[in-house]
Amino acid sequence: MRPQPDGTDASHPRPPEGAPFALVEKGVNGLSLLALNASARALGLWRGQAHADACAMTPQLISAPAEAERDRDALRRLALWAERFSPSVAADELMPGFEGLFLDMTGAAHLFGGERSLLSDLRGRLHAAGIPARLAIADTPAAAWALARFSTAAETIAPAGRTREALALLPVEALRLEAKALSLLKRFGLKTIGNLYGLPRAGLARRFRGEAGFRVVERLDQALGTLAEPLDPVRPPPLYRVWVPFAEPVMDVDGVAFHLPRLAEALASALGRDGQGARRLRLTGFRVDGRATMLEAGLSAPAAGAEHLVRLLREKGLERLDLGFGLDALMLSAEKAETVEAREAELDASPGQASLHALAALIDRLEAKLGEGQVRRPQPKESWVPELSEAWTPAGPSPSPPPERDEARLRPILLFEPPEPVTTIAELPDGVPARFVWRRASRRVVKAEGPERLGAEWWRPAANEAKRPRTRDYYRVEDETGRRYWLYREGLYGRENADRAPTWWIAGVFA
Amino acid sequence: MSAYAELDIRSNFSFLEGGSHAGELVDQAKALGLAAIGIADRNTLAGVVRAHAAAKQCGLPLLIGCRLVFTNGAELIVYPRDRSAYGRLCRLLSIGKSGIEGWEVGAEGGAIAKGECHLRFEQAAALAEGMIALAPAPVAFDEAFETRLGAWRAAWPDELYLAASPTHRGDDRARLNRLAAIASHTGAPMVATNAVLYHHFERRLLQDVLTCIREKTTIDEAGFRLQANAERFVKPPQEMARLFKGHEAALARTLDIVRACRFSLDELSYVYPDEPVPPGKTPDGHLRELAFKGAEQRYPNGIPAKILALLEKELTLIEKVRYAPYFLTVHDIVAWAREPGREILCQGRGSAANSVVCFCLGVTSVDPTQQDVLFERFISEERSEPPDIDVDFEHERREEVMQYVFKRYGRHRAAICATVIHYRPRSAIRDVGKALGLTEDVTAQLANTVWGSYGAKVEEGHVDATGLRREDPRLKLALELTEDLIRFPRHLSQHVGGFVLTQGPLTETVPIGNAAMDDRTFIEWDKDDIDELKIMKVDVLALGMLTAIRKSFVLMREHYGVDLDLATLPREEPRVYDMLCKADSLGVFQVESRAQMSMLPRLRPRTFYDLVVEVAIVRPGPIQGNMVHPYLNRRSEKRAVEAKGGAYSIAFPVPSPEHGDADELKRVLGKTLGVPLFQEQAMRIAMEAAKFSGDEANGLRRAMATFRRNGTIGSYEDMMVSRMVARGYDPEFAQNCFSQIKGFGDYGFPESHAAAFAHLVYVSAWIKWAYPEVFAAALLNSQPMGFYAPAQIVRDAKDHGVEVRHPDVNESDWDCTLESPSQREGTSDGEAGASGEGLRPLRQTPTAVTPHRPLATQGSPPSPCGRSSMEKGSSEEAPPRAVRLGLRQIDGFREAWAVAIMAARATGGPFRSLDELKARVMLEGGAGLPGHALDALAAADALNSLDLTRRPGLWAARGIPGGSTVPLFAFAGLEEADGPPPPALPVAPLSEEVVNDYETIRLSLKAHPMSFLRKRMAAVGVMPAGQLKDAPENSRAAVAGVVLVRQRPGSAHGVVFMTLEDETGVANAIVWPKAFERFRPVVMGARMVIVRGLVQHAPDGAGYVTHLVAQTIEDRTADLALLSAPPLNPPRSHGDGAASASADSRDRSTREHERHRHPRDARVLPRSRDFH
Repeated sequence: MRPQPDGTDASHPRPPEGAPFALVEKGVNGLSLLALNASARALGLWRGQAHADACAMTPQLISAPAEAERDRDALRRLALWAERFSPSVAADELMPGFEGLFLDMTGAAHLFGGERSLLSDLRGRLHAAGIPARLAIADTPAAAWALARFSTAAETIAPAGRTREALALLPVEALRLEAKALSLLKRFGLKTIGNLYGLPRAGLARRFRGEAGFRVVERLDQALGTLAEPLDPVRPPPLYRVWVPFAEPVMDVDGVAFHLPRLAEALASALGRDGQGARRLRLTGFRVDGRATMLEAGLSAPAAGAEHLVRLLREKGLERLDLGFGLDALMLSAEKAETVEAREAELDASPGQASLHALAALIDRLEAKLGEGQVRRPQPKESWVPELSEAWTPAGPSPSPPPERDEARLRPILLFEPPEPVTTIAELPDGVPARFVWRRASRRVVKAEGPERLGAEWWRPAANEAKRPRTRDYYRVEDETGRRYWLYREGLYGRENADRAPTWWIAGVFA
Repeated sequence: MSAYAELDIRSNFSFLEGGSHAGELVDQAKALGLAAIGIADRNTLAGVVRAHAAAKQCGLPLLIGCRLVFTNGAELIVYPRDRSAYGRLCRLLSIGKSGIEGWEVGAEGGAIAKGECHLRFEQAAALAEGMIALAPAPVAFDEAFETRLGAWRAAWPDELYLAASPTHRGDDRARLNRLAAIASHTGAPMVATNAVLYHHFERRLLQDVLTCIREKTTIDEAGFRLQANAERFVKPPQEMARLFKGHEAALARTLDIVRACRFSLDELSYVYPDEPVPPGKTPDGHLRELAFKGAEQRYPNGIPAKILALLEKELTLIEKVRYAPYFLTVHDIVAWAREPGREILCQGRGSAANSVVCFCLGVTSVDPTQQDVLFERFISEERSEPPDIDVDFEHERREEVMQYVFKRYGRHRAAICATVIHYRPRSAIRDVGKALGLTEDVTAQLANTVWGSYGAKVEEGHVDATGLRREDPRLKLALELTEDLIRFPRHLSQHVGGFVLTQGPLTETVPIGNAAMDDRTFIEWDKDDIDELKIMKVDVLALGMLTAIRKSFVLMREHYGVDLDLATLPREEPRVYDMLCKADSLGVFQVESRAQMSMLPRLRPRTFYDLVVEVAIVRPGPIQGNMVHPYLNRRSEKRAVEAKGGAYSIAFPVPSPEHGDADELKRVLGKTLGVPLFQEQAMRIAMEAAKFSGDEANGLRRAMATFRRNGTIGSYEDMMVSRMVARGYDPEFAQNCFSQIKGFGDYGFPESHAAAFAHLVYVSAWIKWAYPEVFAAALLNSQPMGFYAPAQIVRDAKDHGVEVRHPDVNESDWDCTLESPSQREGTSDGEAGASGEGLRPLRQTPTAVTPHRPLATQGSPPSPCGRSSMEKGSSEEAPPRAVRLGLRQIDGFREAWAVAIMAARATGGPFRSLDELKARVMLEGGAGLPGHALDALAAADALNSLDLTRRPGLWAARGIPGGSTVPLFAFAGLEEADGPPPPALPVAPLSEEVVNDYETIRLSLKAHPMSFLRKRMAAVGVMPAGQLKDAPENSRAAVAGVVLVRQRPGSAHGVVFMTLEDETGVANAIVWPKAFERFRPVVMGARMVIVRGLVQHAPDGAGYVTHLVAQTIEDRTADLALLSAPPLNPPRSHGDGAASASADSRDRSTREHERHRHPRDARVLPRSRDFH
């Protein structure tokens, strides 16, 4: 199964309809196009083209950096959704640009009314979710890969045992070979997979020198089924799994709650048959938009009581399932199970590790309650401007070390946010204030040091010209009662006072 | 009044650190009333000449110094007191940059990379006599600093100061007091500075950006690596006095240092090396001797009186201005290159090269009797600058010449000039954009709006065109800062070939460092700096055409017994001019570009001087000055008048009678029919018509040369135009003259260069006319060079009746060679073929040289009978030989393999089988021919003489065991015996053979790719390119072809020229900007197109150049995939209802196929060559 690159993530800002758009990635030779939408392709741009060349051809090309990580996530998400059809789904990311999914349908097609209706059901559901797809069923993953991408039809079935014939007319590209091997095959005039059938295997392999030759034969053998191709499913198939499809999408939590007990009973009886209890439970809802939503619960002890399982999931909060536009199937699975009485003590590496784990777990728990990214910690940040020299960053168990600071630049224990205005008497241009009034109290300065001159961060956009930050002169002063303050004047006499007179502020107090 | 001199300044020659030009710093210091400044850049003196010139101009005392940054990170600013201390500083930096300690003795460079300088304090102290040092105090210092300072003070032979500058951290007062204490402990007196990085506080922004570029970070991430404030600018003395209150002595010491350092760059005096002068002779005497000896050789029948007089006059002038050593130096290099056994082809050009002296010395082959040279034009007494001679050498052998120069003068006395690489709009926007955190595609888009490389900023219109919002604050900042950054020096690179030679050690005049290439060293100053200091430079340049010409001469000698060189080639052959008039100039030096080809039939060159004009006229100068059409009009008027037997005369623009000589411009412009075309003429107009003084003209000339960098030319505009108008000239004419001067600023092209180039135009055209097969082979053997790819050179040769043969392992050398022609070509060939090597031509004497056959018109091969009808005695003549393509044409093939194959063939005769080939060929070192060499031969279909065509050949070549059996295969059970190529290998259709030819040798002799598509094309109304010339003017036509060349000359106002090729010929499409914008993706990206538009013939109606003015352009690149094979899965008809395929999905699946097929497989043809 292969989703089209057009199926952009909904959270991504979509380019204007019909505008050429491409995702770009950075390679050794600069930026190049990684994926293109239909209008970009129509203009003759291609995958792998240098971004600069593409822009020279099409200046109106809109591009955004590719986010491989997010693409992978999206593919994984789709793979989880596809578990609706098969407990073993692999995300295929081997060849960039040719990503897709492998569904192991061994002996399962009859559940969906046969292969043909399985394909149309699968494609129909993907289509409804806005994901165009090409599908194929074949005896081997390699053959299905080839047919899904190179057959003329969007749905292809290679009848069991007739893979050879089904592949014969496909181009050799369908074998997932390196570009070098492909071009050599073509030099020999070997363009279809069928062309390879009549050649001596060893002679063919030898002509590619080294591993590449092995690969050609290996890929051919995999396609024809003489060599097994192991797949790596996105997650291990659950130990116990029960599911129910809905004729009409379930739109709300009540619907889920309604179906849950039946599922739990079915699972519990399956577990009970084997004398097993669930240690980890997962409720998966398959959404009509091609996503899966999940709720997991761990159990401190193996359990196999249907009621207990239902209660556990209810307490976890069924409302946390994101139903989107509705679910068309619901699955309950035991990801981990143990014999009911056995339970081994967990061994942990070290206490320090344990407390780190505990901290991580705490952060996880807090975030689970408060929302992702809601737990943050202050982190020193390199900036000359005092109020910008710390930032709130998402909390992780191990913060990065703070930047080195100039010890001579003393900072007060308390910074006012925002700074408060003061009036002063000071000598021009940058003399120490002799006296200042703060919160209506006049204070006489007895000791002072300064100024420490700090420029503004000129690159930050200012709301307007009148608010554009200026250079500041900071003074550490002590009044007659021994209290110490951090005052500053914003604006330099002689340089920055043309439109606005310099102003005085108190930034904070020292201990 | 407090006096103060700022002595810690870094200019922007402290790359990516200093934020101001030296000129800005000097001007600002002068304006603020500083007593003097010292500029000390990081480990370099590269910027000092500019600073020196600027300081001299505004009258500010300047100290030349350097900021030494030692390998341990410690810094020391040094100022030499006098010339000898300056010499030691240069020597010190040379050691640091090259790793060579003893420059006079050792010549081997150390392992120091270009642009780096590795020095230790001890090395500096050893050469420090006469150097005043300032040790800058770090922001935060500790006892270690004090200890080190004390040690330095003790070790330094001259005065050493502690340089203190305010930090504005809040504790400056205390800090200064502590530093003063350290100063008195260590005995290094404290001196006040402001550690200047830029001339004005507003430059802090740019300086921050430079920091980001240097640290490869963005402004948001740079943090404490940025300066905390904007205080590092040149401050007025009063402000410094306020900051250093209580430390007045530290301020006063700045003036002590200024008083102690008396050195100025004006003291550098230049002495010519004396190597070329034999002992006991004077330079002038020796030059005179050589010149007369040469003259006798040049004129064996006696030196004409006119030449004799000129020679005397020039020698006298040379003696007067004492340039004899310069001419001798150039002569020495040229003579060495020409020595028997070496015989490197070379030719001089440049103002002084077109002198009789240079002709007699053999520096140039342009006969001065053929033009009237004005010697004073290039050496004038008031212009006390060295004359300018550039010498072009064969590009493949220039390195030998350079190494000779190094060897002859020693690395301590000879070095290559630097070229200062400046920021240009493209690089500036990229770096600034990156520093400000703009995403890469945004900066790439901005950078891509800049066509060409010059300009002062990124144009607003261009920004809008990208669809980016100029109001975006970051983008706005980026554009502003980019403008500041443009013209900043970025790094030093070596000049292409400008040598500086001195009598004394060059290392004591300017630092010399290692270049990026091994065996090269270069100085830190560029051409302008050297001019400023009046140091001699000889340009040793590389020219591909000279290589091709020499190879042509060799082939002519070997195969036809014709012995010619640049000077003895028959001159003024009318049929060569006939050929050029028809724009039949592919491969000919300089006039092969599209623009030149369309100019040729309009200009119709008939004499050598016409070629000089031809070379110079298709340049931005004449084009921007609107000089082209007037000149062409005058020429056609002249032709018309003379055709009727009249005499043509021109009314020259004249000044008002009271302002003098009415003929003043006739003398300047007579040769070019009253239209100024050359740089010299523009200068002469300024002097004659606008009465510029020598100095003013010099200033103008310099402003022209540096126009694009400094933009100083504007001030001369008013001066020249108003003076001309005041003297009674037409204002429009005056304005045009000046526009032309501005145009020259971009690509100045003087008559003297044009004349030298024109000579090579004539020589290469002559070879092409007389021996097209020799010319083609020589061009192919000199690749890469010129405008055209091998495929076009071969095609052009075939159009001229040359037989070209496919490379073959038993026939081909590395280079393309000439072979006996085939039987079909002539009668005498049978014997010639039998005698093999021994074909010797009958034409022996150069004077009797006639081409062996008439010129073929493009597209129609010459009839064999044409040869005898045109020439007498052609029955005795050797038939033209065939070109055998060399193994060098095969992609990825190496010269060493070819050499080994040739050697094996020479000893053991031809190979009979692949196994034999593998067994007999031994590379140097004893290894056999590697597997991929055999692959390459097979893939290129070069095994035909072994009875192997491409596919079976490849199968066989790849089956030859490379060594031990691959264990992987054994493991997999793949160890069957190898048999003959299996019959299952499909036979390739011709079209695919052609594709494979293109993939391996980038051309095909079998057929043109377009011929296979002709039917399809005809069906959509496309005509063969060859028929275009017969289409009526302004009729609509469509032509399809492979895109060969795309050209968008900067001078053509956005017009794009596309050259298309099909099996019948070449078509030239003109794409006007409007059409370009519409079809931009196609024009820029397609390899094959259909162009529909209107037919236009050359305006003069000559019919030799036909253009198709594009109206629509269609991308047919995908059609090339059709050549490889019939479609794999014929698309199903719409009635064929596949299981579930909706109309939409079928559409999709076809497109899916196209997508897989499109680019990778269509990359059959090499990319077009693009020029701007």
